[in-house]
Amino acid sequence: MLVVKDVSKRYGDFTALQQINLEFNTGLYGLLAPNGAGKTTLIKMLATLIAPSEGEIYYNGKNIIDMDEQYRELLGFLPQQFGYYKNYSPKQYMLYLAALKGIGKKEALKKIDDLLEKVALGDVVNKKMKKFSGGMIQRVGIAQALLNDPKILILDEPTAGLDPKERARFRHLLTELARDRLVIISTHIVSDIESIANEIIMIKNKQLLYKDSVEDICSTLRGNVFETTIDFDLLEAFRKKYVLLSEKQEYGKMIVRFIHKGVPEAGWKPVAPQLEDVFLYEYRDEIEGEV
Amino acid sequence: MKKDQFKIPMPDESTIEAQISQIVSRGLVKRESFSSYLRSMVQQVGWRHLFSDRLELSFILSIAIGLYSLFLIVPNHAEIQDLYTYIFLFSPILFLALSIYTYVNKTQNATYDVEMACKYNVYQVIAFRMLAFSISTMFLNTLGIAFLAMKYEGIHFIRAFMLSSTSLLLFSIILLFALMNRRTKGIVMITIAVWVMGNTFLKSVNNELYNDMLLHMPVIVYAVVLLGCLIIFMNYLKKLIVFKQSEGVF
Repeated sequence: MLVVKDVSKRYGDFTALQQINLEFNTGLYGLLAPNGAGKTTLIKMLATLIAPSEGEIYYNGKNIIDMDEQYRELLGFLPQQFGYYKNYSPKQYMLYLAALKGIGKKEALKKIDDLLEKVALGDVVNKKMKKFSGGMIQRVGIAQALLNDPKILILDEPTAGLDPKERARFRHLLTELARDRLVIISTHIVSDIESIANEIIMIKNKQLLYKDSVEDICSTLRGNVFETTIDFDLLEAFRKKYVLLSEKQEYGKMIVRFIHKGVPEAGWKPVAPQLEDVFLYEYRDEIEGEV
Repeated sequence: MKKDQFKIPMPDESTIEAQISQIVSRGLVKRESFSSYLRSMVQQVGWRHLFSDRLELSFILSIAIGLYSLFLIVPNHAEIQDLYTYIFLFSPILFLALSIYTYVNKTQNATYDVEMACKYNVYQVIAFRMLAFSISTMFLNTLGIAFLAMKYEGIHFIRAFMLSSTSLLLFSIILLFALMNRRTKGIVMITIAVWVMGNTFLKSVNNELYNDMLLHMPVIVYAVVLLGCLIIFMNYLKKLIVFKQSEGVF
């Protein structure tokens, strides 16, 4: 369906992505990486907002840049920063975007009501967006991306600003949508996609690290993730010795989850690796850098 | 063995030609002409959405009309050569104001990414608007010139109209070229400065060639230049419609 072939992106001397090769079919794909790893660059190339410095992206064998508006007709896109006109209501803004998408007014009006209802904004369709919370704006963004019933839905950090209830509803909506279309979600929040993505894509050092199912990615750490209880005083030394994934205080002791590749010590409990463990392990340098 | 061989009759030249053109016409998507593209854009998007920031554009337009009305207070006796110079210099002003506003507003707005992913993206809307602005500017310029021609006997309407329209299209081409090649605020400022200062300089030093061009160049030459400018301008607008953004505008 959508093929990314030998794609690199450079901004002057800076290389954002290098030799990326990917293939997408119907289903839900999670693009998971820390901030600054090149997720948005890849997303922008898939949405034709920027062109690759090298390589091509094909949809059903046709270059998406050459397809031009034919490709954009198939596309639903939510950018990382969803811009809007403050004095517009969601209905007005979506009518405007529907016109730019070439959808007739009559058809658009019906779709807008349905979509705003779907993202639980049915009772504020005519309220000005300047009074909306971040989560409400984001939901307008999700609704507008679905206006043209896209074959390819690309969402860049769609859950930013959503509360846990909204996130759960959003995951449900995505699972429904991904049944008959390609959905690509970029995020650095593992829980957003862990349970719903058919495949996870991870980028590291500007290159593709993994493109696999959650199970297969987790299996790369099988037998290397442990939990144990230690004294609080030993925590600092433990941190230096092992890659700590999580730490929890309980009854004056610390329960730590960590990675160890080698012979385990007595008292360590082996646990099944989770996607979050792989994320924390693979990006440990970048995450520490961010902290 | 010979009996098993298939004989495929070679088609004649005309059949080959017909079949090639059939394959090509089926395989290639027919590109819409520029005018039919613009028509379908109006039909699908509608004037209302193509000019969504009407309030701001009306504000610019009213300022421009205010400036045009300054013609009403020009002295009764003025140098004809000066008037032709001003016509040449100021004809693109309204187009410039509306286009720059549209370009900056559309490409700098937070809605840029969302609108760029739509069927009719930011650059297509800008191209459409620029065409509309050039037509309206030409119309208002013509009204202004008609007024001048009525007031001053020395002003030849056809010459002034050609001069004004050539100036408008020439400037539009330079502006589009600058916007599409460098896309920086600086290059736009330089384009405007070079236009204003260049014309002012040539007028102030009383350059013979410049004066001849404004006052004595045959109208037919102007018509040819105008036609050439019109073709190049439409060509640039077509390019803007399929314009690919690499990264960063202004």
